[in-house]
Amino acid sequence: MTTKYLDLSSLRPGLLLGSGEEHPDVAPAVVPAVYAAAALSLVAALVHLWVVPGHLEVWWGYGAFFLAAASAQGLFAVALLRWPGLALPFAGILGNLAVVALYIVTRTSGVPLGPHATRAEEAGVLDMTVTLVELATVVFLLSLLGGRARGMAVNAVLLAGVGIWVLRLTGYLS
Amino acid sequence: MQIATNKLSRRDMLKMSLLGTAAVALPLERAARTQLAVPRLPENQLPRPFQTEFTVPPVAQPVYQDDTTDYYEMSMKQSQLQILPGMPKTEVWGYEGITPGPTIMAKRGRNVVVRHKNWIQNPLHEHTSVHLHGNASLPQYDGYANDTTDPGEYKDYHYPNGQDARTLWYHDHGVHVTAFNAYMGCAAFYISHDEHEMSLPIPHGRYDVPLVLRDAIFGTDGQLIFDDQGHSSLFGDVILVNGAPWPVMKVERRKYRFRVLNASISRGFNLALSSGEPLTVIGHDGGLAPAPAEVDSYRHGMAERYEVVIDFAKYNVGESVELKNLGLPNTVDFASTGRIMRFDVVGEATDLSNNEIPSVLNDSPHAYSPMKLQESQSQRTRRFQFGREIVNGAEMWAISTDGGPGMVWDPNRVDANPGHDDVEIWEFTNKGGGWFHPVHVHLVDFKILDRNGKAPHPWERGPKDVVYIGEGETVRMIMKFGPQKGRYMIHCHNLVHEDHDMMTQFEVGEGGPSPLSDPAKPTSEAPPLYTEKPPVPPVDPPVDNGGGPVQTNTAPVVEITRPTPKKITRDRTPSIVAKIVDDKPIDDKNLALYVDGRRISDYKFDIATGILTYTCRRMKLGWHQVQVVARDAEGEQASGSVRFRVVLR
Repeated sequence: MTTKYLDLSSLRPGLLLGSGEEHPDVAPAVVPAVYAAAALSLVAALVHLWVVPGHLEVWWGYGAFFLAAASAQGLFAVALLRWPGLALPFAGILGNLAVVALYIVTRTSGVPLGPHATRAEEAGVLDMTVTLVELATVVFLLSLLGGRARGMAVNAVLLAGVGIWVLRLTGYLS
Repeated sequence: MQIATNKLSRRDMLKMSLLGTAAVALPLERAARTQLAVPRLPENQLPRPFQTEFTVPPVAQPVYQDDTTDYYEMSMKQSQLQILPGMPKTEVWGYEGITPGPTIMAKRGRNVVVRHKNWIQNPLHEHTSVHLHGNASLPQYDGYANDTTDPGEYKDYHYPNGQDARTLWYHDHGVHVTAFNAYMGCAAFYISHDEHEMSLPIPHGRYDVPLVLRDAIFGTDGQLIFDDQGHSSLFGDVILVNGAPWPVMKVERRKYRFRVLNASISRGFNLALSSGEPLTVIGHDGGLAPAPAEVDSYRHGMAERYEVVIDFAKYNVGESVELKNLGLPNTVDFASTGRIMRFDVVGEATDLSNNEIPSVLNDSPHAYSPMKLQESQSQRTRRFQFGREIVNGAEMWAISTDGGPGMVWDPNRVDANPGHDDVEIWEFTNKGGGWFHPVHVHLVDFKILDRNGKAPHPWERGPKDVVYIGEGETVRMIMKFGPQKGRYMIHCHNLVHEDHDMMTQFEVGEGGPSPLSDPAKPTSEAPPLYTEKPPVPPVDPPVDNGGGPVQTNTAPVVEITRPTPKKITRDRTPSIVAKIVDDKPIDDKNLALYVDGRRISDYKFDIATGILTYTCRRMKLGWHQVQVVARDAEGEQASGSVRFRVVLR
């Protein structure tokens, strides 16, 4: 079986989402991972949407953040199903990494801004579950990449993990 | 463009595991670390019960008094107190740095103004709001949760004392932080007397004893540990009475009246005497009961106040009797929480006056007393359910109103709007789930109509403002809304539940002042708390046509009969008796009693006989001075004073 890869080196500068290119060489084996990543992203989006009202009551900024996260994750899910072969997997990985990193910060050092600034939120079942969903999304997105693209993305995840542990061990995350 | 997928290699997974473990492990590690930073004091290291002396909180002294108002200044501050014998001192936050804080003694008809200053400087302290629990305060002085005072700020609270005599208490009510602030010590008594109460032959003076009960968790470093088990409840294994662990109180062979307040965060008590002798309940949250109720034990929820008489004449000198906690459902008990305090009977009664329990205590004619309200007067019934629900994606303590969804605290939402002077029946239901809810309604007193369709318990048949709703129970109450208009809170007084977020509000009538209309200000901007009123100038006597003075009014005559001048006494709590004589009866408002320069307000005065009596609180050894000042209706003033000495032997 010939394995085909998404080669980021072939991406043209200025390539936009939604270019509408067809992928006639996509093998049926691609679909499960795409569907899985899209479904997981949608789950995360729905949970974030669900908690918007409660956070809005505390501060408009918190509500706006969760609304933005929910929107991004929801739109990503739809876009991934439509255009699975573009830069979306890579963008999805970076986006989810950012959300996971922010989650870790809010549960250790504290929320970075707003009325609850510097107050560490308590870890709960729901938020930990969503974080695991986002990490699983990252895994499925990584599986869509190959070659140098995958190497770069995995190293980005590794860098994020190392960075967080370094911050923790040096006391910047407490 | 071509895509495909290939499984991630083991190496790739290993690289990603760093982030994965961080995302899971770090939040959990922080939660575990902050909870167990200092280990809890193990059971075998808890202080042994009955090794500490019972004490009564000090009485606050007003900084100024005029003819209508007593003015107080209170500073909330942190301090180190010796609570556990042999352990390091414990940091507490309290009014004037003590916990329980100073007791404010008020007199019905006299206003009280308290300037509360927040001087707590601890990064864990966010803000405060002070609620006088049991008072019909205006909305802006009721301790509204969002009417907060930050460190470095002050707020003047104005309290009318127009209700029947009662046991009130003032405590923190800051939004979302009430449990922690109260747990750290922000609580104190406020006792209001009136003529009717003082006229009853029930125990007064030193036989009228405030008792605040609470539980606490201590660490091995002697500090308080706040563990609410994930916003569930806080159950401590150390029982404190007036701030001391399992104390011993020396008593005489006579009746004592205990004003019992449960200031625990989450623990209810089921109180009984170890001897099996009954307790007599004579008062409730809203003051004296219509009639006394003798009980073998009674259930005492958080924030409830019960006035309980114990007759120690049933015991011989040398005997002891314990106040015990028999435990309640939905409460975590420890081996140490079955005992509260011990009473040691040390001698015969030195004063047998006011040693009775009359069969009729209070047939209150007060316009807002609930005791004579009938169901037929009710204009509507409102139904509230208290439970745990998913609200906005999070599991919260919530209140639902009239069948609606469970809601959490929102200062912009009002869930009930009774009209001013409306009579309503409110029905509270605890849907169950393993907890009880003592629910407090601000502003009003209510009468419990029934509990699960049956008559209320014998100990809860008086005026109340907190009602214990057990698991699966429904309680109906009747109340009249007033005298104030505006927004007031309803909430569970398990303060962990209150903070997360079992609280809502109702609005009485329309047009009441906003609860946020008198916000706190920086203490640097504080104006003088009071303005001294000028003394009344003397008036020259009129001259009649014959050239001589007309028959003028004469000043009253004040004679202090006890103690006699220069008396030497071993009595550390001497009685003061004075006789005031004038051509017309002197009004109580025109009398002033000073002991060592401090004005005393809780004396007893019989207008008919002109006799003033007062029993001093425990006095220091040495010389003391008593002064009585009387002024008649025409403004003529007279005074009498004596000096006496208290010696050891």
